[in-house]
Amino acid sequence: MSTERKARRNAARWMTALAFGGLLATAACAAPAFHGVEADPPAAVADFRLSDGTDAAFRLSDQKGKWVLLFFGYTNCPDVCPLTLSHIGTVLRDLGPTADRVAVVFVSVDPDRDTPDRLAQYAASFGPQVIGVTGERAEIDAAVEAFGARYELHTDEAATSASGYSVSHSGDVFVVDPEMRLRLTFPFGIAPADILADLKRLIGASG
Amino acid sequence: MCRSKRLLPLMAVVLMFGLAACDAAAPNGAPAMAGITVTDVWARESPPASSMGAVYLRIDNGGPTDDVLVGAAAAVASTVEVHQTTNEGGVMHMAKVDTVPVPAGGSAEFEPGGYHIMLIDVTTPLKAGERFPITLMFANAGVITVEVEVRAE
Repeated sequence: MSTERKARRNAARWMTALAFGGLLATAACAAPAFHGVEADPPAAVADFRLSDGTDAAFRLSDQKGKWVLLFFGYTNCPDVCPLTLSHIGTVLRDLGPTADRVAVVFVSVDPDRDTPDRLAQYAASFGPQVIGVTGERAEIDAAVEAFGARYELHTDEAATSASGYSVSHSGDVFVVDPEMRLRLTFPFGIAPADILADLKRLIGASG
Repeated sequence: MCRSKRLLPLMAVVLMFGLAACDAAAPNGAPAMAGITVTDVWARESPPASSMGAVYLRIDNGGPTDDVLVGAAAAVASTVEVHQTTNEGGVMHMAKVDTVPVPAGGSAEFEPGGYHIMLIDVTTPLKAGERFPITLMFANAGVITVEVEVRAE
């Protein structure tokens, strides 16, 4: 092979190596994934109407301009709901002043036992930003559907436990942005530190 | 410095007492019955307008016989039941269970998102810092009473 051809071959090899290296570097520098499940692209959430214990109706769109952490449950829930609220409480404390931009909405899927009044008291005990809402069955179902969540009242169990019927429900916490778009879903069991890191990134990025 | 011949037997006696003392009581003041020790017993403080509570704990079975938790009782609630939370594809279920096995050499963990002792119709809301007794019934070890610490978390 002539010297000139060797030189060209070597140059080609170097360029390939550089290009490959560049690609690797770009991949490595790409932003790490969120701990929660990201809605990509952000998905618009249908508005819904419920009651928060006051005379005015609660609409999700009332919270436009705020970041909303929303989840479904019921106040007779002794384990999952208190844990979720406790984790959210920890995250709000650690968010510091940024917590002013966050509202927490706890939707009860058990209106037979959770009156708006009872809910308001329950929610308030977890922090000033926590709102407890419920409504007629159709209104609740609209809210549940807006997030693709699920729940079921196990009224067949009422005879087996002194606690009456249990309610199974999605354990997710949904994160809605100030433009009412779903951005992240935190599955049940995710560590508060991970929720905090994700929220700081999301809310911080929005300026 | 020379070692006294009496020092070794003295050390042995002190060691025996030390070991005996270790065996005598498990944390939370519960006696270790038939190898069962119950630790880290706690409950969350009651949110207002909720009459349900949950007690969490850890049961270790250091003995040679398998055991089973068959029930629990506490004066703070009208009824006490053992429940288990399960996560079925993102949907959280809770069901009453009649027994929880604690195999020989094994343990049973009661923690948020899993097993819990459910307090139904708590008579007076639980406040952080308070303590109350709860009695656990085992098939083999019999009755063990432990103290529950109410936490704010």
